[in-house]
Parts: sequence; structure tokens; C-alpha cells
Amino acid sequence: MDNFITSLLGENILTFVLVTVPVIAFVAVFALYAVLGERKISAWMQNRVGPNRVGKGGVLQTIIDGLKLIQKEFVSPIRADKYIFNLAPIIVFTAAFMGFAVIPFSSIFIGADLNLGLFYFFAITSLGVIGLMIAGWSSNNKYSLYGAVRSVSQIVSYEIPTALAAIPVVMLAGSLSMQTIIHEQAGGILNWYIFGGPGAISKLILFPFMLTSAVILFISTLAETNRTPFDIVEADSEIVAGVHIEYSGMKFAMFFFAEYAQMFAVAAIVSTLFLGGWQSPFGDLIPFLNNPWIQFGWAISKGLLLVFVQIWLRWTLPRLRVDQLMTVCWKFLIPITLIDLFIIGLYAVL
Amino acid sequence: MITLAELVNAVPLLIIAIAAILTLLITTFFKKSTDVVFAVTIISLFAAIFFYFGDLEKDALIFTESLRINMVSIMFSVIALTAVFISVLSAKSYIEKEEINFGEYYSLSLFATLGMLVMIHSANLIVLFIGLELMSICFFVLTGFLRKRVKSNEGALKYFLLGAFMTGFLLFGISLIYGTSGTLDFIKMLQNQSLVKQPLFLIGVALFSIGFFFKMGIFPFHMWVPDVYEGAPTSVTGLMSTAGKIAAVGTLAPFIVNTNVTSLKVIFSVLAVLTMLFGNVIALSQVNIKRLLAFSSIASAGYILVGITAMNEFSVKGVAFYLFAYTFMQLGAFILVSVIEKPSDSSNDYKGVNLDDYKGLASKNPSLAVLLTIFLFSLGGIPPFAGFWGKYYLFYAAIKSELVWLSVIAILLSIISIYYYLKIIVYMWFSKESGNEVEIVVPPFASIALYIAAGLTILFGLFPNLFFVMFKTVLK
Amino acid sequence: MPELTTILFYIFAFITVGFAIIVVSTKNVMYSAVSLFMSLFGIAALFLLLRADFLALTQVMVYIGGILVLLIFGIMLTTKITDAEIKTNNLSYIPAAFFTTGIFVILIFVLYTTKWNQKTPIQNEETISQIGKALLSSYVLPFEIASIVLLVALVGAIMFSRKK
Repeated sequence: MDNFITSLLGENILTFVLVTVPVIAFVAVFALYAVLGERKISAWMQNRVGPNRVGKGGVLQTIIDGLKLIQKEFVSPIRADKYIFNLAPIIVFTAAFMGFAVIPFSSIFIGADLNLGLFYFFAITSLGVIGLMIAGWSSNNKYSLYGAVRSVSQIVSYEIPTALAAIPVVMLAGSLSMQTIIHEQAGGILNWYIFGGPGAISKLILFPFMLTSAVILFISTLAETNRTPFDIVEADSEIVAGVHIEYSGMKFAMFFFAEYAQMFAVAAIVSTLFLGGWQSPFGDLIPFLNNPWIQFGWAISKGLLLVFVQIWLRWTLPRLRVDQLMTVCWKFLIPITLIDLFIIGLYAVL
Repeated sequence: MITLAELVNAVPLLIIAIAAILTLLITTFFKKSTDVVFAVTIISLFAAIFFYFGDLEKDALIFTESLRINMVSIMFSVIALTAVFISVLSAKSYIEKEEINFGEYYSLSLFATLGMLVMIHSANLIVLFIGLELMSICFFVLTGFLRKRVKSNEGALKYFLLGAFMTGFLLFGISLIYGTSGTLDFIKMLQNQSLVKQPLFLIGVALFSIGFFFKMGIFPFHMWVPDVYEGAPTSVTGLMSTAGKIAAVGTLAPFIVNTNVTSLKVIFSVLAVLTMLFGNVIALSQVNIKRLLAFSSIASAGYILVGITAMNEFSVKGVAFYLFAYTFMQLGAFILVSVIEKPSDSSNDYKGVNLDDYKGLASKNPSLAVLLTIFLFSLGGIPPFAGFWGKYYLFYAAIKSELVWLSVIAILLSIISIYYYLKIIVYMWFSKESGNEVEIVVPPFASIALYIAAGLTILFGLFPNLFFVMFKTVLK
Repeated sequence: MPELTTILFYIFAFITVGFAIIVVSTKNVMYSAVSLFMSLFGIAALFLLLRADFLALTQVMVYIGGILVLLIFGIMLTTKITDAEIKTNNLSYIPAAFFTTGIFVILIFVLYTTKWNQKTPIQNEETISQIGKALLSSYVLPFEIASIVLLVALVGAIMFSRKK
């Protein structure tokens, strides 16, 4: 059974709609507090205080910011192409959100446990780049256009190592379904795919290769979400925020939402593939922690942990140049993932 | 599982595939290795022809019924391989002259050959389509190989755009055929007699044929032929106009001939007449020899279509013999054009390809003039050269199917064609050259290719039965 | 009340065809590209209704995530093309109308006279493993040759982009 809502209320259109409600709610709350979290963490790393005026310790800051954005006028530049300009944030947001359909939050909750879950995720999130491109073009601003061109070359290139780094897990699990991949990693932290998955021999042989795959997947998903050190798409100091430059109010907020939603989505994908998703790290030692409701906690906390790493990297590393970005992708990540793929494939066949 | 017997049957294809990848690797890792690549290419082509005459099974379906090895497919494969062999042999000096002496030229030729073989041997539509694409992509690239020439780039672009467009027709036809028959397999399709009564299947076959007519250059899908033939490097033009056509005809003809549908016959015969008329009439006014030969090759496609239209047991034989003869004469003519062509450093256009450049060739280099005369007489269908017998067998097949009117028209139109072939011959032998005297050097490999082509044109003109003997006794 | 899948089919068919008409009729290249996006998406949805989930996702991944991105990228990099007015109106209405009506009549005729090769629909089967097995057993030859085709396309692209 995919999730508890349909099993309680039966499978019909209404319940399928109901399933999306907790996901939307989660993404909205996450996005609001991830922004705050990012500001707080960056402040902490730079010995600053960060937002501290609205609410206790600034907890209401982003809510107020959101209210401010909602109140703003819907502005489109005169020379912009209005239809496409307004369509772009919708596409970006929809693409980011559609990916959540296959993200497993618990053994009893996933939007849809597709046979092709992982493939679906990569296919759907690749739609976002269309939104960025047409946003950049329709703004009729050269910085936007540069941002769009950069985003395409970056995202299209990094899609390759992303997919290649995910394939080893698919080969070992023998399935593209997200729930099956997680079920395969049952039995505690050592059975997670980052340590080579279940089986003593596979741990011994595969550990280094799976670890590199996991790291590469994390790096390339960072690039896919345009986070630092791969944020040449936005690069405030060079092209003043790239495609976002002409957007304001809610349209800008949608880009912003989409970016944070995607941060969590890719973190969840990495955690599903390599960190056991909603599996408890203690396995069968403490059976209570494998309760389906506690699994929500595991899934979300693993996701948040990776989001924290993303934020941490953003405030630690400088931005790459365009040529360095391409070099990293084509000359390092792709060859390494290919070698990984070859060795793990050989193991999977034998 | 793939068995050893299957691999043995596929040896010629494997040789070509391995050689193609090997040449690519050699080019990548060793600089100035084009001579080695050339040698590998020639040897592999020769070996592939050799193994076709070896101990192959004579009616086999291999690789999970993807490829069919039988008499007809072996025959067309050997013809195509011969064409590629002669063409590549002569290409060496030409690409050196034009400063495009890259190993990729040979790799792409070999990949194109692989595509042709896969196509000719294909037992189902998917394999056929992929083989065709492989061949086409190689030809697109080879057409634009001479990048300093605007004409070459123009030709490649036109060929690519129209080719991609026509691929759409082909695929649409394939999908309709699959939709009605429920199978991709040719043999199963032909066994189902009720299929040919279904209009959707016939539309599918018609669209499928359009894709092939484009490759053959049948009216009204011929518009790319003159521009691409003129723009492509001359050695590539020779390859495309012979081997490419052989592959397309060798795939289409056995299939269409076996369907034997009256409604298709009507359409095909009309197209054949239009093609011959168009090709021959427009060729009369050409001043560029590459364009002239392009139009003459459109006309030849028309003659071939006459043979296919007959749809009887003589069709495939006739088409095969014509293509065999056509390979030598057309390829020979193009090799000569490539030899006479002048190297031009920065110019956008080809030099020395106008009919005026052939004035007084006989006084400059009589042996070349004799060779070109042989090829042109043969193309015009004058006995005792192979081209005469080619046309004879094609029109014989048509008469056997009671298409006398079609044969009469074809003969009349082929008489028109003699005019423009004779024009070149008159220019060579009876006109005085106007410009300065430049000695024409015939490079060794090109002259070997020329003498092979000329020798076989005469040999099969004198003993046409040799061809049928070769493919009956040696192969059976 | 028709079935839900029937309603969905008509919705997606309408999206596919409607946007396809915009693709060919609009004068703005970018509008064409965006409409193509919607149209391709509609096709993916139609594949899903046919229970071809792998095909649907491949459609999204290859056509939208790959080809359309390259297309828009090409439009953005080519200067002045985005402002260029493309000619979409016909010069010769009468032959075009005659020709298309002819094709339409033929298609309708064929549609009603053909005995369609119907197969019983398959419910909720895992398509990807079947596709994988088919590709590596009965269709292994075309599968391998397809890789050669891609190699040749790469070599060709490099040949055209190398220095003169």
C-alpha cells in the first residue's frame, strides 16, 4: 500500500488529492523555515546574530517576509514577453513540486510508489530548466539571458553524473521503485547503500565505490539545484541574480519556494538512495524506532541533515568559474561515475 | 543466446564493424596514421567480400531473427561492398588533393558500409530503420566533409534537413505497417495474404517506399540529388550515388516485389516515367559534369524503378545486374571527374568540373579519354558494355509483366540520354582546348580503381551471364 | 457519465493537438517552443493512459528535458532569431486546401475500413523489466547498432565543429 490515507479512505480521486495536502503543507513550512535556518546558520558561521527582531529569536521573520511579498504588486517589465514571463515561475515551481510525488516519507506514506520512481524524479525535475530558460529569455534583460544560458549548460551537464551516480543503487536493489530501494536497506546503518548495502562481501568490496557514488550524487544534485559552489546561474556579483532579476512579489517568491523545495527533494533522494531513507539506523536493535510514524522523523531528519550540509557548503566554499564547473563535471565526475558504474555493475552481474 | 554458427554467418558484417571502430581508434590515438587506416579499410572491405563467397549458410535467420542471410541479400551486399571498395580505393588521392586527409573519412565510409549491410540483410523493420539511419548519418557527414567549400556545407545541410524530413515518412509508414500487421518481421508480413487488401497497410507501404525513393532519388523526391551530388566531395558523390542507391534498392526491391500489388504497380510505373523524363530532360542542359551525372543518376533510378514495377521473378535479378553494371560505370565516371578536378586552395567552388574543362582531353591524356568514353557509352546503354545488358534485363522484366508501354517509354527516354553522354565524348575528342595546358596526373590507386571499373564494365558487357553464374554456382 | 480515463484522454488529446496547432501557426519562435513543451507533455500523458509508463517518462526526459532544452538554447544563442518574424501563412491556399482535404478524406476512409489489430489491454504490469529483457534478447542487434549510430553522430558533430 502506498500510503495510509488511501488505505483508510479507499482509492478514489478525492483521496489521491488528499495525499498531496500533507506534502504541500510540509514543503511550505519547510521552505519558510529553511530560509530562516539558512540565515541563522550563515549568521552563526560568520559570528553574526542574524534575524532576531520578529518573534522570539526571529522565528516569525520569514512569515512576515512572505506576507510582504504577497502584498506586492504584480509587475512585469514593459519590454518583457508577458505570457512567458508569467508562465516561467509556474513551470519552475510545478516541476520542483512534482518531484515530491515519489519521495518516501515513511513505509506508509509516499505520494505514489511508482515502479519507475527514480526515473520519474529525474525526468520531472529536468522540466524546471525549461522554466528557468524561458524566464531568462522573456525578461528581456541581458543578465537574465546570461543566467538562463548558464543554467542550461550547467543543469544539462550535471544531469549526466546525477543519473550515473544513482544507477549503482538501482543495479544493486534491482528496482527503480523508491520504497523497494529503501526496503532493501533494512537492518541498521551498516546495510545502507553508502556502506555497500546488505551482504558482508558487498560491504567489503563495494564500500569505496558506493561512497564515491554517494558523494558524486550529492555534488551533482547541488549543481542541479544551483546552490553554491555551483551558483553561477545566480551569481549576484557577476550577473545580479541571473534569471530572477526582473521578478518581484509572488513571482519571485515562487522561484524562491521552488529552490528550497528542490533542496529538500534532492536531499531526500540522496538519503533514499544511500542513507536508507526512512529506515532507522539501529535496525532491529530497537524495534520501536521502526514504527511507521517514527519513520517520518527519520526520513525528514536525514533530509534536514543533508540540507544543513548544503547550507554549510554554501557559506564555506567560493563560487566556481564556468570553465571550472564544466571541467569538474566532464573531466572528473563523469569518468569517476563511469568507473564506479562499471565495477559495481560487474559485481551485480557476478 | 548468440551461437557460434550465427557469428560465422555474420562474419562479413563483423569484419566491417570491427574495422570501422578500429580505424576510428587508430585515428584518435596515432597522428598521421591515415595510410594505415587506408590499408585497414581496403583489407577489411576485401576480406568482407571474400567471406561472402565463403562457406555461409544460404538461408539463415540470425541474431534472434534480426538478420536474414540469403541469396538475394548476399548478392546486393557483395555489389555494395564492391562499390565501396572501388570508391575508397580511389578516394585516397582525392582527399589528399583536397587537404581533407583525415582518418575519419575511412571510418565513416566503413560505418556507412555497415549500415548498408545491416539494411540489406535486415529481417525486420527496426533493424532496417537503424541500418538506414547509420548509413544516412555517415553520408550527411561525408557530404559536408570539405568544410572550406560553401557548396559542401550547403549540400550537407540540404541533405540533412530533407533526409530528416523523409525519415519521418519512413517511420510513419513503418508504424502503420506495424499497426495493421502486428509484426515487424518481413517474412511473417508477406505470409499474411489478407494484409495487402487493407488500405492502411498499403498506405504504410507507400509511405515506407517514399522514404526509400528519397534515398534513390525518384521524382518527386529527387530535389536534393543535384545539389548534394554537386556539393559533396567528388569521391563521396561516387560512393553515395552507387553504394547508397544499391543499399536502398537492395532493401526495398525484394520486399516490394514480393507484395505484388496492382495499385502499387500503377503508382510506381507513373513515378518511373516521370523520373526518367525529368532526369534525362534536365540533364540535357547541364554544364557542370557533377550535376549532369547527378541527373543521369536520377534517370537511372527511374530505370531501376521500371524493373521493380514489373514485380515478377526477373525483377530482382534485373535490378541486381543493372546495379552491378551501374556501380562500375557511374563510379568510374565519378573517379575520372575527381581525377580531372583541379585542387583549389581558398576557392569556395569546385574547379575543373565544367564540361568545358573536358575539351581536348583526348589530346592531353588519351587513356583517360578512352576510359571516360567507355563509362559514358555504358551509361548510355550502348552495347557491348555492361550498361546495355543492365537496361536489357530491366526492360525484359517489365515486358514479361505486360508493361510493354513502360518499356517503350523507357527505351525512348534512354535514347535521349545518349545525346548528353555523346556531348561530353565529342568535347573530349573533337574540341580544341581553349585554356592553358595542365598535365593531368593520375594517382596510382585511382588508376587501379579506374582500370578495375573499366575492365569489369567491358567484361560483363561481353559476358553478362557471368554475373548470374557467379551468384548461382559460387554462392549456392 | 463516461469513464475517467476517457475524459482524461480527451483533455490530453486536446492539449496535444491544440498546442501543436499553435506551434505551427504562431509567428514567435519562442511561443512555438513553449507550445511544443505543452504538446510533448500531452503526448507523455497519452502514453501514460496507454499504460506505457516508461515510454511516457522517456518522452518527458528525452524530448522535454533534452531536445526542447537544446531547441530553446539554440534560439537564445542565435542572435536576432527571437525577434524574427517567421512566415507561417500560406502562399497558395487553394492547392493546399485541396491537398489536405484529400489526405483527410483518405485518412477517414482508411480509419473506418481497416480491421484494427486490437490487443487486450494489460493491467498494471511492470513495463521496464520487460523492455529491458526485450532490448537485450530479441532486439539486441538493433540495440547495439543504435549505439554505433550514436557514436557516428558524435564523430560527425566533432568533424563539423573542428577547426578548418
